[in-house]
Amino acid sequence: MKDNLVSPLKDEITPEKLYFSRRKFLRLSAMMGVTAALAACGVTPPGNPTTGAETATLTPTPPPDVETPLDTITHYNNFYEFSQDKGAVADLVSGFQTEPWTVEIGGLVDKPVTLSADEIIQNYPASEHVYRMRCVEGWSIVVPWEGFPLNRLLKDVGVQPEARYIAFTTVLRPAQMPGQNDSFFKWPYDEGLRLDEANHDLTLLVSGLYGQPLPKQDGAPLRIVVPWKYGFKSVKSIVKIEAVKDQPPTFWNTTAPDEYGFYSNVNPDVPHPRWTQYSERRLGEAGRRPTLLFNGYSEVAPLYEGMDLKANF
Amino acid sequence: MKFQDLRRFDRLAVNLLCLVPASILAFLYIQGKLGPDPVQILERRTGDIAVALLLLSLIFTPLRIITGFNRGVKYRRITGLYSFYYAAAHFLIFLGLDYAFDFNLVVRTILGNKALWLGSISLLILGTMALTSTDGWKLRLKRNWRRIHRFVYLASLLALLHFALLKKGNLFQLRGEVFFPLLGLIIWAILMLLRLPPFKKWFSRYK
Repeated sequence: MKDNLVSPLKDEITPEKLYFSRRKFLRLSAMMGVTAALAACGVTPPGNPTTGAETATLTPTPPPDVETPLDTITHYNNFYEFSQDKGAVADLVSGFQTEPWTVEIGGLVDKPVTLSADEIIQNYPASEHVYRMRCVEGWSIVVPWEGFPLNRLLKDVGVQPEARYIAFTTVLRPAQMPGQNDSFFKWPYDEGLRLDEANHDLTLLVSGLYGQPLPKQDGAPLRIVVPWKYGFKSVKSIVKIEAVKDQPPTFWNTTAPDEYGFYSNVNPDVPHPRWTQYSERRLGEAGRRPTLLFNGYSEVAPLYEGMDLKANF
Repeated sequence: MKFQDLRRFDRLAVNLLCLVPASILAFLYIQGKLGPDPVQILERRTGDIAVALLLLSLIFTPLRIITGFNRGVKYRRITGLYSFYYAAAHFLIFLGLDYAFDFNLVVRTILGNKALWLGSISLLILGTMALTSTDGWKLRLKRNWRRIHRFVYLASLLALLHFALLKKGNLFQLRGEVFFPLLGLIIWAILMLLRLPPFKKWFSRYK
């Protein structure tokens, strides 16, 4: 089942002709860029350079989303528990044991419970949700996740009225996760959402992608996906979900509070010191796409009504 | 062939060596071996090489002061020029491959980021130096030529700061990815110190 929530609006869809001519333009531009670069290095590539006469067809509307190939999703991973090198994670996960696995759901809830990953997967049927994922580093992918809205689980455990946040914790296993031996960071990785964010239908508890169980490098066996926030908010390999009263500490905010706020909503108008955030590179595409407020998931805007998004970045 | 004859090929050899990284990058790119985000790899590596070559080009003058190796000065211009070529390729990849010649977005992006300011200024200085690097311009500009080309000290510092600011680290707190930026800055500082008159004098006594 495809999730309707994430389909682009009709007027967002570029006419096919424009779309393809845009792609053609981008390809041409890319070729020109290479040609120019090689020429600058004294290398003459074969073939004739072409002019950018098709500039006029460049539309400001982003072309439709295309699912990112599985190979990219499994070989380009920001998973600091293993490595800070996105290309190295896939080779480092083989010793990571994801079975058996339990998740403790507690804190300010009526029925605290510890469930195995299998129990969660069996009790809460997953469906496919195709989401954009925008990394704070300025790249993005489109992933067909298999998961269910986290609010179903939260409803079953009965979040108490005084709880205002949900805190998540990734497993701590330095023996299996070499990156956790780096004492520069405060392990385990923790994250958090405001209760209304956690309860939003877009927020998923994910157990798979592309119709298969979650690959280890993508946060097996269970992870959170919050598509309107930068990727690091979508916490991987979780062992604990806790309802709490106060805003919980979060990994990147603890590491560099001036660079990463608690909310970390995708926002082109809030620059990061290293990345302007006006645009993003969709992996596999030439050129850039404009970065959209809330990563294009405008349905979450009511959650932040009256809030200064620049102050609460 | 005698050693003296072989030495005539040294400049050709330096040229070829400077082209090795570009050839490897171009080969890997065409083969699709640069991973899921090849544009970023091209961007970073061309930048890394530009900075490395710029620092290398600054070694030959102090080397002459210290060891009297005069021939090295011939490599100064070659390595400096290649540093500019790599920096220009770095910028063209950013402009063409990364931003698909979306000039509006490029201007907004550069203006909105301190690191990109510094990189752009450095590239402009290097470009001016590359344009005036010929013997003809050296004659025409007379004393001004030296004045212009002394800006390489600033250009190299700006390039290093551009590099440091784009790394995930904090130089002042020595946290995160600071190893290479710091190494570069230390090498830069040493290369600057060796040029100062007191050092020059001290070394000339031992020649």
